[in-house]
Amino acid sequence: MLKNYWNKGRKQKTIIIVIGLVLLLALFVLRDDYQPALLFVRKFIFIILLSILVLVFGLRKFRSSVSTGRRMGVLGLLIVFFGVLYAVGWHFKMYDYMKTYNVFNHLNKIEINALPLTQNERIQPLQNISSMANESVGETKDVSLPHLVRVDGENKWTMAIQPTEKYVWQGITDNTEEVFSVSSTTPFPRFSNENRIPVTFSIGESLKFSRNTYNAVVQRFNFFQLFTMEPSDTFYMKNDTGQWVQVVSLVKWKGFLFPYPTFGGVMVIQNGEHDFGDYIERILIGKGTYISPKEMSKHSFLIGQNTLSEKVSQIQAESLKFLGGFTDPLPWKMKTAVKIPELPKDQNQQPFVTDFDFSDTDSNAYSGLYHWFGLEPVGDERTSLTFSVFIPADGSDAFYYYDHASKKQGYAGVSAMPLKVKESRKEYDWTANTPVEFRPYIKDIAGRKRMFFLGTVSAISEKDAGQFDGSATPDLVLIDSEYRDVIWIDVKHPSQWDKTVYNQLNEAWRSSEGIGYYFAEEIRPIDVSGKTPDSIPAVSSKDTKALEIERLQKRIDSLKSLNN
Amino acid sequence: MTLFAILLIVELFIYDYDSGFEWKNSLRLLTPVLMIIAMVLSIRHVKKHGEN
Repeated sequence: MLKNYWNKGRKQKTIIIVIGLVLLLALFVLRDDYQPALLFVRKFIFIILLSILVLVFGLRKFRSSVSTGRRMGVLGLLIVFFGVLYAVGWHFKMYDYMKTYNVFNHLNKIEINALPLTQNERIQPLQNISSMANESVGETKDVSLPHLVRVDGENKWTMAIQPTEKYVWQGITDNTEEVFSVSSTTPFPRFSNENRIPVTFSIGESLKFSRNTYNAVVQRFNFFQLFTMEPSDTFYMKNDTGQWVQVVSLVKWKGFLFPYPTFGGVMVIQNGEHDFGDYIERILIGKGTYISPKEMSKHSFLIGQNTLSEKVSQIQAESLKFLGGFTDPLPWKMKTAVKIPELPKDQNQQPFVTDFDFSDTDSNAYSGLYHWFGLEPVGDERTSLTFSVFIPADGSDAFYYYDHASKKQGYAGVSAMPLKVKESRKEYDWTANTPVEFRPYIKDIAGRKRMFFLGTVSAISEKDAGQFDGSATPDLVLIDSEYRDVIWIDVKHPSQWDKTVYNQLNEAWRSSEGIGYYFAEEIRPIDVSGKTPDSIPAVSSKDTKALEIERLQKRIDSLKSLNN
Repeated sequence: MTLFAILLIVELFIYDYDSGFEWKNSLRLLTPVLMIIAMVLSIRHVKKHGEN
């Protein structure tokens, strides 16, 4: 058809060439739009090839068959094949099963035998930070999802104040003009003054077309990366020169039979307004600097940073269910099968990004931010803590886990916590409030490491479960995962938390563990000045002399009486 | 046939790639694919055996 049209004349040839060029240009410029399809082919390459092979041979056999019965047989076999493939692979989730097993096999698993301590505890749950940030911006602005990152040696929640997705025009014309950077350890997070940093990003998560972060990053991919990489979470942080940058975590798909996701490095997008040259660059080859996982160690701002996609860490943590062997998670075994518990009404699901101190453990792990998971047995009614998983948040090739179950510690897991908190204070209106985000709190108290869960009580809107109360000083609870006791702690005085815990639990610990006394039990004032002596003697010197004379006189009298 | 090819491209464009091989999702692709196959076969048949 096209050949006939081409041969008709010069005009037709020109039209075909022009349309061909336009199509080629569209194919090049619209890479970000059709890239999900390329990635889809990569993700399911084996299944797609197998299906095509069976379909081609099946149809060939179908057409070469003479009798109707034979043809019906071939058709029936094809339908059975695809039906079984779908039922086993997708209905019974065996495809995901194999994918997760692949993840497990390629993990650098390191078992630790001592829990790391937690440090720089974050006071607020993610949703509270998000609510408070949204209270601080105007109608045409949105706040991106907060992420806990390291900024200037501190743990901070960072998020961009970007044009809202509600109004398309702002998304096309405006830039991201500010970034929130709020300390995660303060009980009083402020979203003003020095925590509201003016910085311009011409590329943003809510911006449209080529200025959208996802689009700009995909355009930057090379030909092979288009098939293997996908952009994930976006983080805001300072680079080595102190400039604010956008860091987009990348997910890389590996493997042939059952491809699985891994950490694929990051794309770093610089701040600054774009001119026409940038516009052309953005449209043609996108924006950003790709840093592979191997090269990340050359950039100090990415070491110990939080840049790992939660999608990757979740599947890695879940893959620990294969610790008992390939067949162990199957329904008739399930001995070590574990799940990531889902918390009701809690928008922020695990992992919880937590700061750990590994210095006194037997591993070479760095001290800093980790994605923490508290895995529990697969059954809904089972809520014990089976594994604690620590995945380096900077994407390093390591996977640390602590096996609570094999040590028979009998700790309660995260999903057991909400009811314990509610039980401890029955006077609360628990229909309007709920304890959320139970993150680990591991401290060396009274002679040994003890594991607690730190939860925050948040008010949740009855109409919108995602709307959390943004109180600056929420009620905090610590739950001893071993003794199951709930300790309500004062958010404003983090330095007294350990003492409060000790005060409440020391007798229980003493009676069951036979421990000694810790913390100062007696109050001994050490900084109180003594009573200043009066400069005027209470007894006059004259009286003192008289008393001395009287004493000596008594001695003389006594000696005289002896002589007599 | 061109129309069905365009329909297939449109379906590929709006396909929910995150849900993978969810069967209802995939059925939407199957319709234009089957129509293209049917048309190719019928054109071949007409070429080989004539219109009657």
